[in-house]
Amino acid sequence: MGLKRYFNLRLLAALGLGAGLIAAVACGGASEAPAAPAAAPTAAPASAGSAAPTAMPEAAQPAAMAEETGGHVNLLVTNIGNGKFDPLLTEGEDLKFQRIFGVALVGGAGGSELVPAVAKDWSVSEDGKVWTFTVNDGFIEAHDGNVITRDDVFFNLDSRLGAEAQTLLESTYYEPRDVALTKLIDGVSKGPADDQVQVIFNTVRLDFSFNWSENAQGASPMIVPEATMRERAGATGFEGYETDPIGVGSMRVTDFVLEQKYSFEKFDNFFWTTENGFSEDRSVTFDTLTIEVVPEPAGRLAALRSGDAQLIEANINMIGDINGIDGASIAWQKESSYNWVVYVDCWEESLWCFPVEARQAAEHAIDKDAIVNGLYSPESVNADSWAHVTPNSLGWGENLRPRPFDLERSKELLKSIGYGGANGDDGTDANGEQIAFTLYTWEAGDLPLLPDLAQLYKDFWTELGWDVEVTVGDAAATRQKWNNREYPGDVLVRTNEGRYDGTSITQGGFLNEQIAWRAVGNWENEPWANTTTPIVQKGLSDLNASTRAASYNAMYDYLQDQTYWGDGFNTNVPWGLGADVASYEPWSLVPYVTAIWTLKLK
Amino acid sequence: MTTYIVRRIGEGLVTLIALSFVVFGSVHLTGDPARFLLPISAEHDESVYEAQKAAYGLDKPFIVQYWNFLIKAVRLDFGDSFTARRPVQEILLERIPATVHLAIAGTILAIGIGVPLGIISAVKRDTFLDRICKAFAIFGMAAPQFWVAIMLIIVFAGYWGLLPAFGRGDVTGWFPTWSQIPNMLLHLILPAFVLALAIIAAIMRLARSAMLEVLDSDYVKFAQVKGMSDRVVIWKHAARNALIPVITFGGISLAGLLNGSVVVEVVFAWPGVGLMLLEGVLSNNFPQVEGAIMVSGAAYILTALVVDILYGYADPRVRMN
Repeated sequence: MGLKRYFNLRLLAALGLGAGLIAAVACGGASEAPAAPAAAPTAAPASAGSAAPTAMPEAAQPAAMAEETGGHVNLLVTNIGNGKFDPLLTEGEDLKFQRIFGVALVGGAGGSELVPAVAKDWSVSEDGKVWTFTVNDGFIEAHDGNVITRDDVFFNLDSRLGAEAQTLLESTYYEPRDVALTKLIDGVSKGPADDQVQVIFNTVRLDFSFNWSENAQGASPMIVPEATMRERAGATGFEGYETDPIGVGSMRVTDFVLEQKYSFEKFDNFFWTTENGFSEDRSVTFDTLTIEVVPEPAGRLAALRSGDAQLIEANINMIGDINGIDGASIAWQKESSYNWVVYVDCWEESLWCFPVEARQAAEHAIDKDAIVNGLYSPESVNADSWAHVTPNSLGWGENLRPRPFDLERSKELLKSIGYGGANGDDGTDANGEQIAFTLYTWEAGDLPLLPDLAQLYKDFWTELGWDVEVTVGDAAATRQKWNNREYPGDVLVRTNEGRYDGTSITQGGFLNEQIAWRAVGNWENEPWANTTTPIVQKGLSDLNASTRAASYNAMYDYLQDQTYWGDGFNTNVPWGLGADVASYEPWSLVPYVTAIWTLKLK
Repeated sequence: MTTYIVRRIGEGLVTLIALSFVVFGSVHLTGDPARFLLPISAEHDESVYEAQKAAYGLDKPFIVQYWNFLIKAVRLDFGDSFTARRPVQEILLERIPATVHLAIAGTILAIGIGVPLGIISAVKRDTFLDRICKAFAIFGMAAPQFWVAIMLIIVFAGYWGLLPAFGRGDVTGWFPTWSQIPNMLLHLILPAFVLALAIIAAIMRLARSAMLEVLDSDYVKFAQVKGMSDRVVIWKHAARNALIPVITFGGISLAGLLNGSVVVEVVFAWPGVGLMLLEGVLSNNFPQVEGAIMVSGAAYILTALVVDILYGYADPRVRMN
């Protein structure tokens, strides 16, 4: 038929044209891939963390200069925090770009190691309340040419913790995230020497250098030039800074789409070089960097495979896929996060979990080896920690390893408090009522299968006759309800960022009356006032550097025994390296993007 | 006709107001925004909590809050984003171009692929080609969007390296530079295709059935008997009549695509309104959620209104009824 003949010819022509267009488009696509640089430098590994809780600044030592390779690095991440530049507005995940764009007051090298950065020296008074920082005054250049001085450091500390912070935090522009910390501070002052600044606490605070270092879990310690910020001040805060951000880091911002994409170029006047007396050169070896948010793992993997990305944030589900890409490799970020199990509000007498034996029984019923080897893998998850205390963090010891899986021990513990009937496993409490609670969790980027993990917890506890329900919710909403004390007697299974120094989280959880995180109404009614409180106070107040780890260990040993927080896992987070990447050495015990200068292209 | 237009505009406004009430109410049902705004460190600090409520007007009765929201929404003022600390309006203005570009590309693909396939399928009725087209239509409507997206990323971006796996390239805003256009088009292909797939299938089915009906009509047979060329018969006589309902459907589909697709935008990291909506939901960022839904809803209602009015012009029976 005529119509058919017409369509046969036209169809062939159309298909040919379409194929031609696709080929043209495809060729264009291929040409967009970044060219692989020729040089292949040897990576200079980042320093491993040491056991020293507060390392003093290192003397300048000769070290290899950063090798120039040029080229572009495309870094794909799962998310960004608030995506803001003003340190007072950032979330933890903003460190994915903040450690590239900025530098903290105190430097870091992963784990416990603190090194000079903007501050060349720091010390705490004998009573543990006054911190003195000596500033590397006069040669640290910001991206706009301003030079950082002692006055700039004072401005940064004062506007985040001191008198100026009080004014700023009243503004709706700022979220009062640091309210609790500001209440612990009597003031920030210049001096006593011309290049020094002091922070005066009203309580012992030995972790301040850590929390204002690059090893910390937030971007608050990033130093910005005062003059730049003042120029950008608006009616309620430094609003103008967000459109024209200036840092002192190894790369400066060239363009960005908020919370989506951040482009940087190398800052040639970056101060952290051996010429300036530092032990290593932390200048990046490539010219430009783009950080882009790609939530879908398949998208990140495809980009790594095609060469469109050089570095991707991965998780343990992606290991097999990365290993299957020709030339790709994995860099492990050890102990980057941990699994945190919280028996919520169990100091209330009416709750099933009030007797410590009930909580301990719950821990003994969990087969952690089965979880590590069955659900995860030993290379990615380690069952050797309690809460945030992982093997390389301050205060860890063999005594903090998880309690062994022993169902009979669980039943004995339950029977000892009249739970579980004759055999300890009928699921009842001392009043003969069924024990029932909900296990709250969420999907976490750094530890996949968290809902499956919660399901396994449920299965283990079902062996004790307990009626457990698993609810997988939104992370922010669940956290908020937990904080609002809407989950008494329930259990929270979540992840959190790894850390060397757990002072802050321990203080927040068990001690700080200003935060009153877990307090019942007011401090006087705090059920731990005569038990846990003095032990934690003692542990956190050890001013002797040589015994501090032992004091922390003793404190954690007691807290583990109390079991308000359960035994857990720590997670090694994998980074996928593209075929054109020679090496990358992320820091251990520090989350998000670290040590970007160790990334070397081939 | 004027009465018809006024009535349709009135209906559109009522729908928009109802949408605003549902959005505002449902967002506030999820919890107390002032509580969500409190950082962990200040959660029991009632003075901070009260200050937060007052600062965001959350201390007023619900109906007053809604009225204030509505008045501001008319000016596209949805307040400040809780996380970005800047007006949601600004963020919307940044995100809308990406969604509109994607919607337009999706519509072009949907019509550009769906209509020819539908016509071919009708002309080649009951042949192997027709069966292939019908199978494609079923696949397009049945296959989950996220699965198709991931498969295409794996194949076209990962294994073959032909197309980018994510993002919008270097383009920001409405108008790319000439040098950005090729790269932008490359980035559009996969997300636009996935977004359009179900509509391609629907348009193909619609075009096929309409074309079959027209091809069977007396005037087409008469044209063939008169000795007109196949090209003239198909495109001038048959297709023109068959495509009227298809064009109408395409217009409504564009309105749907303008809503943005959360799935497509998330999988392809496409920085549009859909991704903005998800970001808002995940962070309990109520102003951002309200802004994204209201603008998407308004875009849909407005587009549907325009299509209805144009349809009223084209077909007098519509406005008469």
